[in-house]
Amino acid sequence: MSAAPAAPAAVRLPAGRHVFDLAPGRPAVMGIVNTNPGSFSDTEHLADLDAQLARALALVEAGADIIDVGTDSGVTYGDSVPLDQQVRAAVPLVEALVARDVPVSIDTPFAEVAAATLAAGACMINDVSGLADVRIAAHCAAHAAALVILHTRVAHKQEAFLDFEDVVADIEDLFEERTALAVAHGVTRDRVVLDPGLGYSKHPRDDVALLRAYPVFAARGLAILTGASRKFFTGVITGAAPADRLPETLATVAAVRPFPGFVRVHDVGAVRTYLDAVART
Amino acid sequence: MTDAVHRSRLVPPGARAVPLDDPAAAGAALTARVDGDPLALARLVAAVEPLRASDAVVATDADAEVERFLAVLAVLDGRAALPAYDLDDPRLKWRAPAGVRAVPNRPDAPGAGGPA
Repeated sequence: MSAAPAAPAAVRLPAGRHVFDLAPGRPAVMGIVNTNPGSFSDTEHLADLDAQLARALALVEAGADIIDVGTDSGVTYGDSVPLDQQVRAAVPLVEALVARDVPVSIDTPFAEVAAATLAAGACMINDVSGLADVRIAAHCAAHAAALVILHTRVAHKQEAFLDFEDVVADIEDLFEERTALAVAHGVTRDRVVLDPGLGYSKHPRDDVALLRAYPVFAARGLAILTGASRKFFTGVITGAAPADRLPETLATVAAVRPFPGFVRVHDVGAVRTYLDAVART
Repeated sequence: MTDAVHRSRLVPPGARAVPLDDPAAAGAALTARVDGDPLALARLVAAVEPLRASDAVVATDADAEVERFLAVLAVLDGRAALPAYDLDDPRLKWRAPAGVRAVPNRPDAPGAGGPA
């Protein structure tokens, strides 16, 4: 780099009928609710719609700005939930949240799931495949929804720690290519959200490198989503077990807080409390 | 809060946390009791964050948690190195529930057959 990137500017993100005004230092908080039984980080499975809705509303009460509904865990043990089952589980939850004016994102790499949940009112697709299926972009465009492009070089449910020669350059390449692809399929550029993919196909050393490179990513002028919760690299630093990483999650949030976007977390109440407290200082 | 088993594996340069009954607590820049409340911990680390590169002492019953918060920031700030790690360390990974089988990677998947 020849010059340090400029300080990040605020980002206005239209997403369906919602608009997120994302300021540096004040990331929006994305809470997580899974309709599938496989997520590795759920301490309990929310077995039915009532339980899932109650959890989502509790997260909103705790300070979540948007709920990310996961329909098929990315864990590399256990098979995918059949697509029709994913749709049947997610759509009623989306409808119930939308009826309460709660913004809903859908965590999916599947175009069929994206189409059904966008039709039900979801305002964002959190595509954890990095737009491997361009139909997702077309569905987002049809609904004026936001689209999260996550950096990964590994297919859904495949586990690998790749040896990147330059992980930041690889992320930049994917962001450039897939943003152009999304725009070519009708998504307006201001509706694109970039996720560097912390922990996705990456060594802990890559996670550290990418977090240090946020000024580079933010220079694109787009919102950045960070899956900040309980990450493996933080366990490498502290030795903490996955379910016991609240301080590590808060430190990750602290690192990305200067950059406008979203932090996707399980511990919504604590993260909201932290963000409110630092905003007062 | 959690016990000392999860204390940071490194002591980074910068602020440090000590138990409330530690002799160093007498000169602490911050003193806070968390009592196992995650929201209180969140408020405490928000106050600790601006001190992270200083030599401040934070006295708290959540000293292990504050040390872990500081340790992660020290690595991300470049003030401490990422410790050596084992990608297969079972203490650090989420495990499949008992009885759930692993799904093999496709043979053509990037990195298939690697350390994962």
